Amino acid sequence: MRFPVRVLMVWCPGWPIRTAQLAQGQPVDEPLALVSKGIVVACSESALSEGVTIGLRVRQAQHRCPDLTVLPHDPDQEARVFEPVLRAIEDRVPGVHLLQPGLAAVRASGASRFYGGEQIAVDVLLEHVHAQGVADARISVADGLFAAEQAAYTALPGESVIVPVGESARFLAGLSIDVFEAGVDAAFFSGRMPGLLRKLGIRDLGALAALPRAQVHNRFGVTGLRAHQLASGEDVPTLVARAVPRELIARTVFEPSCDQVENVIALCSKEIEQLVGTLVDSALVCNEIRCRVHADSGAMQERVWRHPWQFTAADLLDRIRWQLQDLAIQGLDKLDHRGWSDDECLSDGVTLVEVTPESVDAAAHHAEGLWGDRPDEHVVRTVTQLQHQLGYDGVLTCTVGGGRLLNERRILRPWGDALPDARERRTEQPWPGSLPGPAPAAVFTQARVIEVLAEAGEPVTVGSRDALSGTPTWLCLSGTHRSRITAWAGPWPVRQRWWRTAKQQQLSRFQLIDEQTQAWLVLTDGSQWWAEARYD
Amino acid sequence: MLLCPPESLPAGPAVAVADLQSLIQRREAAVSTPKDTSSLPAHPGLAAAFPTGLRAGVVYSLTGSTSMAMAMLAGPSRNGSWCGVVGLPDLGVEAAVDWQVRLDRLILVPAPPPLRWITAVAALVEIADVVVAAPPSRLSDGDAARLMARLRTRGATLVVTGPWKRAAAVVRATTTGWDGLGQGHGCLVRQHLRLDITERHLQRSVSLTLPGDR
Repeated sequence: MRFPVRVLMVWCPGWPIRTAQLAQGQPVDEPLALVSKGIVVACSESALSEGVTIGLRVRQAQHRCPDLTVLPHDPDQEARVFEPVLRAIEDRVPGVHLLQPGLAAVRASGASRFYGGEQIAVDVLLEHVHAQGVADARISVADGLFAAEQAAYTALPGESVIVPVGESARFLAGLSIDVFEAGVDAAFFSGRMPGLLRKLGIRDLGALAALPRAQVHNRFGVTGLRAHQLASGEDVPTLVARAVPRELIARTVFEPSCDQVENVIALCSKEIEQLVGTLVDSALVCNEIRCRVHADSGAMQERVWRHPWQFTAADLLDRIRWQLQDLAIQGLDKLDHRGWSDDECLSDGVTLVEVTPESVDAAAHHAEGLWGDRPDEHVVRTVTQLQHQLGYDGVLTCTVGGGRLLNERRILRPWGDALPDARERRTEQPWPGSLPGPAPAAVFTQARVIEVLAEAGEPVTVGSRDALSGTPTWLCLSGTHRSRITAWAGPWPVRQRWWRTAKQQQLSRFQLIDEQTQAWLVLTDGSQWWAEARYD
Repeated sequence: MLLCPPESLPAGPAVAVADLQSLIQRREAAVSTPKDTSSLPAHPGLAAAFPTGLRAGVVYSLTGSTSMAMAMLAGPSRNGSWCGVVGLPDLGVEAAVDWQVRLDRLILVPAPPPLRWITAVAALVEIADVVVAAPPSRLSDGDAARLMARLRTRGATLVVTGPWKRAAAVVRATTTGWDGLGQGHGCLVRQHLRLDITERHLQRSVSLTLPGDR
C-alpha cells in the first residue's frame, strides 16, 4: 500500500467565471456562461439559478436564459490571472503544485511543522491569500490530492476543512459516485463507468471501495482500477512543484499615479530596456507582447501587440504610447484627432504598466532569413518615424483575404503589426459569388449610396427570385445629376450569413457602364443601392 | 615680376567668371544628371506607352485612371522596389495584385492630414522608388521645389493623380470602351484605354487594352 502525501489544497471557487467577469468588466450578478466547442463549461451563480448547467449546449442554455452572456472559455487567461495567487501561496509555503487554474496544492507536512500545526498553517495561508485580493478562497488538508480536492469542495466560503491523518478513506466513503465526473480528472473518468456503477447500485465511494479490486479492474479496466484506488484512499506519494517561469515582465508602478503620456513613457523606459536586455542576454526573441495598463479608478486595459519581427525597446515604448493614447482619446471626440501631441493628458491616472512577452523563442530559431524577411533597417526606421508623426493607424500595410464583399477581401494592418498568415486569410477557400474578370481598381471603404432608375424614372427593385422591376436605365451618383446606363449585367446574388440576419445580407451585385464609359460595381438589397467599387 | 602678359590682364576677370560659371554648371550637372538620365522599368503592359521606362527623379501627373497608377507602380514593384501610396484610401488591393505589385513592399498612407501630405510623401520618397499620391489640397511652391529636388537626388518617381505644376509628363487616361458587358448579360472582361501623354511639349497617344499580356 502506498501512503499518499499529506496535501494542503487551496481552492478558489468559480475561477473561470471570476476571471471572465474581471476581464470583461461584467457585474457579478449577471448571467454568464463560458463555452468551449459549443458546450457550456462554466456558468455564474445567476445563470445556474436560471437553469443553465455545465455540459449544456449553447443554444439550449440561451433558450433557458435569454439574457445569458456567452464568452469563449480561455484557459490561458485563467492561468495567467491565477499566477499572482500561486505567487502568494509560494510566499508562505514553497513548492506549489498547480492542478488547474483555481486549484493549487502544497505539501502540508513542512508547513505544519514550520507554523506549528496544520490549523495555524491554514489560517496563515488563508489570510495571506485573502490579502492578495482573492475574495473567496477555501482550504482543505487531507491525505492525497483526490481527498484534499473533495474536502475543499465541501468547505464553506472563507473556511477550511481538515481531514485528520488516516481518516481520508472514511471521509471519501461518504461521497457520491458523482464526484468522479465533477473534479479535475473528470475527463479521465468521463466514460461509461460512473453511469454503470450507479446502475449496479453502487452509489458512494465506500461501496466501490468494498468491491474486490481485481474484479473492478477486470470489469472497468484502468479507469476502474484508478477509481478503486482513489476510493480506498490511495493516492500519489509526492507532489510535483511547478516550474517557476523566468521573470520576464517589465512592471512599472506609479506612485502617485501619473496622467501625462510622456511622463509614463519616460518612467517605463528603464524597465523596458532592462526587459529587452534580458531577452538579448538569454538569446531570446519576442514578437508578441501583452501590455496591461491599470488606472486610478481600478479599470484595467489589456492589449496584445504582435510584430512581424522581434521587438526593440523603441518599438515597445511606441506600443505603450499608442495604448495610452487610445485611453486618452477614448472619451473625447476622436473624429478629428489624427496624430499625437506631446502634451497629451489622460483623464484617469495610470498606476501600473506591465509588459509581458507572450511568445518568446530562442533566437537561434529565428536566424536572419528564416523569420520572414525583415526589411532594411533604413526602411523600418523611416516608416516607423512616419508612423510616429501620423499616428498608429496612419501608415498601413495590406494583403488580400477571403470574403465575398470586396472591402472584406482587402486586409489593412498598421505598419509594425503582423499580417494574418495564409490560413487566417482563407483566400484559397471557395467563395461562391466571387467576381469574374479583372478586379476593380477602386474599392470604396464605405459603400456610397446611389440610385438606379428605370426608363420612366422610378427606382429599380429586385424582388424575390431576383426578378427586376424594370431595366436599369439611369444611374444617379449624387443629387439630381443622372447618367444613362449603356450596358449592365446582374443580379448576381451575394448570399452571406443568411442564417444570421434575415433580410439585410441578401445582397445582389450588378455591373453597370454609364455614359462617361465608367464601369461600376453596385450592390442592392432589393430597394436600396450602393456603389461598391469602380473600374477605372 | 608679372605672372602673365600685360595685354591679357583686362580679359582676366571675365575669363575667370566664365570659367567659374562653366565649372558650377558642370558640378550641378554632375550632381543631378546621373539619376536624371536613368529610368525605372515599366510594366511590360505599358511598353507601348513608356518604351524607355519611367523617368526617375521626376513627377508624372496622371488623371483619369487608378488602374494606370497601379500599372506605373507595378514595374518597379515587381523588380523588388519598395513603393508607396499616399491619400488613396479606396485603392483596390486585389487589382494591385493582378498588376503584380508586391504587397509586402507596398506602404499605404490612406488619409494623411492636409498639412502632413508633404511629410508623408517625403518620407516615402526616401525608401520607395515610386510613390503614387493624390494631389494635396494646397502646397507651397517652396515645398514643391524641395520635394522635386529630393526626388532628383533619390532618383525616385512621384505619380500625382491630379494636376501638378511642373510635371515632367502629363498622362491623361480616357476609357474608350469595355468588352464583355451587354444589356443584362455578360461581365466586364477588358478595358480599352487611350493615353494622351504630353512630354517635353510633344504629345503622343497610345491605345491600350487592359488586362493585356501580363
